[in-house]
Amino acid sequence: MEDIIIIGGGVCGCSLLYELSQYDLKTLLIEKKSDIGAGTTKANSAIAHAGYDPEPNTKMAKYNVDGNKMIEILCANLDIAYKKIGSLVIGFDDTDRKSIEKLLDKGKKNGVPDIRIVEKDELFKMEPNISKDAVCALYAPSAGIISPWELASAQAECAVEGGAKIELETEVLSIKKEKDFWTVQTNQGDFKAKYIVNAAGVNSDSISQMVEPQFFNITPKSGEYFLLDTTENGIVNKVIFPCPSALGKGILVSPTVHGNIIVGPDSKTVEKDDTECTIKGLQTVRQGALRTVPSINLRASIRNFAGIRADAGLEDFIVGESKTAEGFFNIAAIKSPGLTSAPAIAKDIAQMLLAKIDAKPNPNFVSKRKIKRFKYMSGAERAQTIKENPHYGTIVCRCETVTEGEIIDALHRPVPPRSLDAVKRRVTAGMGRCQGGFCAPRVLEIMSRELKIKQTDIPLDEKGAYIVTGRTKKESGG
Amino acid sequence: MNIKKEYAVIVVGGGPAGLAAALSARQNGAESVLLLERNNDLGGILNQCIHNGFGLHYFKQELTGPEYAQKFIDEVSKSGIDILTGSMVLNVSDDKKIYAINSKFGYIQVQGKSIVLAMGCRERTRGAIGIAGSRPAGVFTAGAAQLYMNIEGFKVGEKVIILGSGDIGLIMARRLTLEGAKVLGVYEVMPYSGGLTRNIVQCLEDYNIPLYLSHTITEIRGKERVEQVVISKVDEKMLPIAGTEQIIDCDTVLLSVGLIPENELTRQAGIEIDGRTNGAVVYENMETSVDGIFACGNVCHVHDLVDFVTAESMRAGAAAAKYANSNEKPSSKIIAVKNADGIGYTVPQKIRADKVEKAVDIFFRVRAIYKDAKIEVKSGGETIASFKREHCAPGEMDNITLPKVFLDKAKDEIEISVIGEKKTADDTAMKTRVKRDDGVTELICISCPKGCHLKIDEKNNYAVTGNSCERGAIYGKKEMTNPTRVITSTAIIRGGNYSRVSVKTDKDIPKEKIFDAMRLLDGLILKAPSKIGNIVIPNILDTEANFVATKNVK
Repeated sequence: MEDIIIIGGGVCGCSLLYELSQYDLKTLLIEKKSDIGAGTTKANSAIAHAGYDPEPNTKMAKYNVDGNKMIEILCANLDIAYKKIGSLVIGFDDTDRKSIEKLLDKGKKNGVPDIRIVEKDELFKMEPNISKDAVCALYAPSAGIISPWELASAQAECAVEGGAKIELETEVLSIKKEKDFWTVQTNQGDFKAKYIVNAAGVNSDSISQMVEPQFFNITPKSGEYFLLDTTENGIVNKVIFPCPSALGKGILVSPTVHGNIIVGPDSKTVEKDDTECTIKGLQTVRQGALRTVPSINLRASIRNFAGIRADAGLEDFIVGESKTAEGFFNIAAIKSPGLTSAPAIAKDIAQMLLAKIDAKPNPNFVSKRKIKRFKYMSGAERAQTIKENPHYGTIVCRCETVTEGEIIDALHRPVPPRSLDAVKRRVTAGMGRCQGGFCAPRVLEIMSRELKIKQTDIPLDEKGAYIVTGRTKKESGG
Repeated sequence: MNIKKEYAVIVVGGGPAGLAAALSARQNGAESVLLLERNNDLGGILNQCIHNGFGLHYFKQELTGPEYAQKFIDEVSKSGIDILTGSMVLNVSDDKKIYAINSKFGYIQVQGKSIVLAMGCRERTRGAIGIAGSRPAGVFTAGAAQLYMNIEGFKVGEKVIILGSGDIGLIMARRLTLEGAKVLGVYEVMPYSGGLTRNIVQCLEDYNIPLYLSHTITEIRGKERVEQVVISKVDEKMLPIAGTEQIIDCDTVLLSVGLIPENELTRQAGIEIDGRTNGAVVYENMETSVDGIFACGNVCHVHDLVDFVTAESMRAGAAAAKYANSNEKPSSKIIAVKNADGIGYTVPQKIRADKVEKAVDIFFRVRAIYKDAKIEVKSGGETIASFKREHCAPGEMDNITLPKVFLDKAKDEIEISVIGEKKTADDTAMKTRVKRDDGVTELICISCPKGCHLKIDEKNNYAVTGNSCERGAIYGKKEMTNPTRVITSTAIIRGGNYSRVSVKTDKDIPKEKIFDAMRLLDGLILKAPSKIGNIVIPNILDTEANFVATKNVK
């Protein structure tokens, strides 16, 4: 019997797992996919928003502003790339100026630090490549950029090292209330726990409906993106937004922590598993980007992708204990700024759970993590690292300068990647301009050797996404 | 081996360009040469190019990729060149310091008197061309699929669509077919093929694989693995035409949609890059905008034939040695080579006339298909030279040789243009074999990349005209009476540093026996070591041809 089962291994579920790992509790996270952070967490704008968008006095506003502060500390502790570069909402006319003034007002009410309006001259100094039609902008210095999937995996790794458990490829089929505990039926058997937290992202409505009357409905919104080569780094210095509209925050142009430029998203209603890019969607993103940054070179695109947000058409997140099912908690309808809010939501839910469970501190709590990233080492550090471990002397991913040593280390960390894409999310191998063309065969070979599995059994991401389909040449006569 | 602190010439990259540059630098008096290669073996991309067709210009014989590479590796290995494989160069500075890593030697810092950049190129990916749809497994660049198949011995799929008719795509269409996959078609967005005609004939037509010009993939479908693609016709602006969509079931998509020189190190060193070639701007001796740093091969501009890479790199290596020995300063008169009508790019982009001994070769690509064309060289509005061409195509790099006397006539700029009849989309459609009413068959010779248009008179004992060498005459008659091909593949090998060894038939075999011959390789398990030329299967199907190894496996 577990104390707590968290359903969903996105950034919210993983943040909660980490938060709870401070306490001496039996916690299990179950995730449908083959890796954590593989849903909405892997495909979004990767922004730690400042917090001027949410309506004042909502949970969203509080979690956003609090989460923004927490993320900075978390990233430092967990050795996750994070850069507080600030954001600009660009205004092109008087109507825009009015909405920017409204945003400023909301930002102040929400407690966003140092937020202010900048006029043309200052704006063009900050961002020389921005459209000359811009008249002013809302500047929020506390906005940051982050590696979202690493925020999930780093917290999961620490939690597991501290005693928490994770079951992957485990899909919840039903949830049954027993006398004083829950039975979660999955494709991998039954799990029992005293408390359940639903952090199932786009599927949070289905999970909720397993135990309580329907009170929200997720209408997944897909957003398409371009990721540009690091050669375009410098086209903008901050996160550049247009003025928000009914569709959301609009098409942004921003540096990423990996040195690329990200452009997107559009917004349209789709099915829950629909992460397709469309000719029309990409065209919308292209036009949106050209409006704020006319000289952007979208031909330097190295990847298009689409992510889905768990939009329930509500003004606020659903966070807290069920009104009807005691011991069942929701972290649901987490659209933007969900990534930013995740640590603050986790803290809040943990407090609610601790009010019900008497838990001591976990003596084995792992609060910090340090990993080796060859790309960012000095010459002396590189020399020393290769001396200690010669695998660091072999570059596997040449575009992102990832060594064999880093891949081997990641394969043996607490939540090991089991697919090519999972390795990519842990160490950035294959994330660069050749998109794994050169390194994928090498990564498969290393995974096969280290994990003792056949290369034909390693998928791109989920089961069935096989990369190589068999051996050439039969071993026996033809 | 001990790594010296300083070398006369340091070559970055041990593929065909780097091998030739290092060898030539040494032959031309460089006291010490260091060759750095990121993979564990020298040879670069040639190691996975197990098909034949290499070396016709340079060695006057037809070799496979690994055999071509080995000839240079052998030469380089006995020339007193320091070779460091498994070594990735992380940084090149403009004062010619190189920073690299190697698992045995650790973090390496070496100083060169001169440097040759020969990092090669990479393939354009799905992301670069923005194909809509889902992102399932089963989408490969042609080169990645080639590595899986030829080096690692993996199949990549069963029902394959190939986008782009570049040579690697065409070569892979044949490889996949020989390994049992079904290639449903090759789709090319341009109105003409990007590959060599000989590859259209011997890789597609031989196996009845259709080539669709002015078509592209507009959507990829599939949840985990590719399930379908949507193909559309495109208009003159290469935009999909609504209503022409066809849905095709397949499990694999191969992309052969262009190559991009890998110039990250070049950019870091602050070297000027040409937006047309995506490579360094170079002078007549392949020197870049930074004195003493040279670039050659596909890192400078993408070539069609390795023989030309070798020739260019030989020049670069010699110039690097000369620079290392003399530290000569650049000259004052620089002639800029400008592209005028119809020319996509030129290499070199700049010429220092006083450094040219007898003549300078200018390599270029045209932007469309021309017939009966003229390549004109102008300076100050006056034509200083003109060269005739029966046929020019973007897929075929061309060159002209300008004697020094012409350069002396030139002002500080020369302009190169192509004048001639541009072919329209309709008549660029491939007609590789036409049987005329008078009994004469017209076909394109595939003996070498030149692609002569042969006329074979059946009534006159298959007399061949239109050929420019004896091989054409032999090919023409044979093709009409008993068509034959050399075939290349791999065999299982155990106990060595590779699990597959590449093989070829040492003579051509009748076309109709190709698949039977391929089957002989199933069930064959060789033991390492294996050397190039070792007979793997003698007298294939009584043809007197043998399967021989084309790669050394230790």
